[in-house]
Amino acid sequence: MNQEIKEQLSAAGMNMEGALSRLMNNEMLLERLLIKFKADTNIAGLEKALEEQQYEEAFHFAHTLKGVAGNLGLEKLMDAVGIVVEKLRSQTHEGIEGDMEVVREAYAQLMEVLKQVG
Amino acid sequence: MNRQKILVVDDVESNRLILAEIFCEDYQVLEAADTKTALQILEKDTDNIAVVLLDWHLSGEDGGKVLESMRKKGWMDHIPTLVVTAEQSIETERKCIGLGAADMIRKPFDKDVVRKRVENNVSLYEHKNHMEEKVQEQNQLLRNQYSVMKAQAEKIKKSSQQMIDIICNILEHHYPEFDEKPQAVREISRIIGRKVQAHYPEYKLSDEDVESIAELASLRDIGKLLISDHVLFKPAKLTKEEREYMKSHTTKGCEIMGMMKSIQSPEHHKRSMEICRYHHERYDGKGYPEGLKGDEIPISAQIVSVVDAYHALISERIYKRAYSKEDAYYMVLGGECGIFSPKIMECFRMSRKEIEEIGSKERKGKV
Repeated sequence: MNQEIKEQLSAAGMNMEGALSRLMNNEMLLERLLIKFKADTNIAGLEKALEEQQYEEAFHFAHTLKGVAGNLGLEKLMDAVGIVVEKLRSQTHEGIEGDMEVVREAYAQLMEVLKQVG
Repeated sequence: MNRQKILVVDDVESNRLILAEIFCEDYQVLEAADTKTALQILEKDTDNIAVVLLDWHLSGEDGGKVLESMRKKGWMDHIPTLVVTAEQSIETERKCIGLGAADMIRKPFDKDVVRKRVENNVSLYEHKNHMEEKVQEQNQLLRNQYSVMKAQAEKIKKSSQQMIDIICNILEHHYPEFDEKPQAVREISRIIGRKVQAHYPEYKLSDEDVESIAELASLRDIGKLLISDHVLFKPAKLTKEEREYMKSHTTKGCEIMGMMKSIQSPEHHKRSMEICRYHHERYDGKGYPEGLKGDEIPISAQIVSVVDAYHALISERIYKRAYSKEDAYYMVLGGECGIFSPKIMECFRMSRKEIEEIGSKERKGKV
């Protein structure tokens, strides 16, 4: 990953320094994990479960996504998913569609940059 | 460090990879994506796993299952489990700790914090496991010491018994007056003592008591060592003075036993004194040296007095021939050696067959 991509990822809400530190500054591993993240199915699973109103399942997808995002320092996405997680946990589904919009936006923004990786 | 493996349980591969990266330098990292695999690995590698990092939200089930199984199997006592979770709720924390988790790590985590927490828990458990081993070692050591001490006590008891045997043998050698076979006196005393123990619980005789009475019976006449030979071996009837002098072998025996106090246990010493002093007392108060009556006479001396009387009859003495066992039996019962307690006489009657068999067994043994 070149400096430019790193800057773009930071702009998309990634804490590059934190993520690298967790990985013992192993940039190769970070890159591999980010490539894996591109294929992560948790977001799709979350969308589908919400659509079918399978809220418990949705909670698990959201929760896992939050964890993965957190580990990779994708803080903007993590925070956005975090709101959805809490709503699903307390079973207040009001306005969840609006919250999902924020998640999608953060996710799309990341994917745009990650196109150049891998 | 003897446990060198770390088990990472998480259904998300990237999560496992991150933790593996952090710990791969210090540990061999084992990975499991679900509960079943995790428990299989734990089963196989129980003694090598230093720590488990457990994701709380495994797909389909929660980490609580792993904790519960670990507790049931007893692994939890030796392996710390740290729950890794993105949960912020206090309920989850309460649940994890309640189920026995050693610590919590929140996602996203800081690598230094994770390492430090793992390190702390590992060294704590290492210490704990080490202490448990130490305690077990110490217990084993104590058990061994105890058996050594028991064996030594046994040996001391034996050597005090041997000492008595040696004394009896010396006595026998110098004074044919003494028993040819201290074993016979011991055996008769044991037989009668057991009958007293079984039928007259009021005397509160233990197995040990019976055994020590039997052992010490051979010492009853040790006081004769201090009696002049011309009286002891006088081939004619003793004068009144000589008879009185002869009776002093009871009190003289106590003088000799007094010298042996330090090589005997207090109980044995007390019993030896009773036997030496009172084995010529009689139930009706007509014995010597004190004329004690009934149960004023210690039970040890009551038993030995019958044995002494009976054994004197069946042995050859300088002033008399040996009587047959049958004659001796009836002479004792008939009161020819003085009056004994009815209880002791009852025991003597019950013992007749066993006593008369002693010799026949010995004869058989010699063939």
